[in-house]
Amino acid sequence: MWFNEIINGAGLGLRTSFIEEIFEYDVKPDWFEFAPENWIRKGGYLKECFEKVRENFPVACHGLSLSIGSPEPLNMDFLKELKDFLDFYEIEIYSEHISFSSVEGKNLYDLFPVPFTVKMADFISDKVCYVQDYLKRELILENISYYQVIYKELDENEFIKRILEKSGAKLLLDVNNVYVNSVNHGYDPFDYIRTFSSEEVAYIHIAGHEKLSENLIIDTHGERVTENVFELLRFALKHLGKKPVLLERDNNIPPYKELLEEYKKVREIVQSYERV
Amino acid sequence: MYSHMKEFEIQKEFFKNLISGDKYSIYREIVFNNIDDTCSKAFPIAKSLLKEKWNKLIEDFIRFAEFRTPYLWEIPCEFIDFLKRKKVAEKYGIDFLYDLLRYEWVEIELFNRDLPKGSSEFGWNKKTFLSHTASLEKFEYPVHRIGDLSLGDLKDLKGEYFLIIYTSPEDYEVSYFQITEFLYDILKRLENKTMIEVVEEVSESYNVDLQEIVEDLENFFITLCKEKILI
Repeated sequence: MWFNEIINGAGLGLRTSFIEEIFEYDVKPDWFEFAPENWIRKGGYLKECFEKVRENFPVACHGLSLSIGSPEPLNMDFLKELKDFLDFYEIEIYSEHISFSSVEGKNLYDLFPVPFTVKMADFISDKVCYVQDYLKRELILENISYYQVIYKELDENEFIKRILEKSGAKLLLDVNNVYVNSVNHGYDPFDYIRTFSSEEVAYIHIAGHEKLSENLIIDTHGERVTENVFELLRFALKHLGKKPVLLERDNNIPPYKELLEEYKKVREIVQSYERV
Repeated sequence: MYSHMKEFEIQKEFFKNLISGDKYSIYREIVFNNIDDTCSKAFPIAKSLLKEKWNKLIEDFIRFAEFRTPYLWEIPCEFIDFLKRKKVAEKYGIDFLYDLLRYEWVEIELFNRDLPKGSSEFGWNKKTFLSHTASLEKFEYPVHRIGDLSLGDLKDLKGEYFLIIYTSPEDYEVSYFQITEFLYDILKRLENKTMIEVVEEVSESYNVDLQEIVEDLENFFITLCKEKILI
């Protein structure tokens, strides 16, 4: 796949809490991923640090505010700012979420599940095509974690599969989200992953979660990755073959040195499947 | 083709409940935490002053705010307007609240702006501008000294405070100069005029003998150029 010429191996989500320390350690992530929303309309010292990372590492952008599943047209002002940003920093890889976060122009800054129906899949697919044409980039879409099914005619994996087929977009397979949803909604996470072929999956996310009860896990990105999720990652890599994998940590971020230890574990797993 | 989908109504209903419904939803908690976290980080002192009222204000903010920006980090600016509309300072007797919020937000804004490139030499006959990494502010309370003053002192020191808040090119820290109203007026009028034109104009309106202050002024302006406040 074309994006494997840009990102390979194991990446790390870029956060301001450690952005100044990246060059201080011998262990360097193979690539970084960041949200464009955290850098657009910003300058200053941290932006200089960001630019240094951009100059020295392969990168991918992972958006938060596109709200592709909103029941209304896309925010064109935002899309323009996004395109300018991607073009300016020569970033080719851009992923987003199959979700919505705004209605009638009001944003709530979280990723909400859309109704899993054929019509909704087609509506989103049309929007994805528009975004791809506008940005002149192939869109990569992530399966989100969700705590409520707001309406359903299709299973989530069938719903996503239809969007990928109709729009030609690729999947960002978030293995932690698959695990979280499998517990919260009672399905087999291995079957879910088997739904997707290697050609459909661009890259993989992995993160930690918090278990509140037997049937409720919250996708916090604030803990270490659990062994269950590592097991699912190994299964995904076996099923899909070599894929770039990204470790996300958004909350409760440990000192960078400690985070690198977890990163190294992810990289070892990724490398062991690259050799197969 | 997609204009009257039942799915849209379901989404709108779900969204409405997040904003103003009574039904518990884990998503309501997540939305609350996101907005609370963003505003708390921007305004830690205001949060500690408002104590138990803070959570209710965040809930109301989510309900009534427009949230047009796709950038979460810009939300604290909208929170200031919201608190003003709700007359929170008046209601809870925190007279200096709006000044404090403004000061904290200006710090965030300036920190996130690029410093001007190159250096600028001071010249009386040059057109001089205020850099976008500096902000001229007028406050009723000395909120810039909130670290050294008790809240009671702050309240008692109501007056007029003129500040240049700026990002230092040395260490990127946001800092300030407290200045006189006279200097504030000079810097406020810097727009497509040479420094000497502005200074003469303002000196006249203040009945100040320019010759007596010209050396001090020049030294001050040289400092401002070094700090990239004037460009």
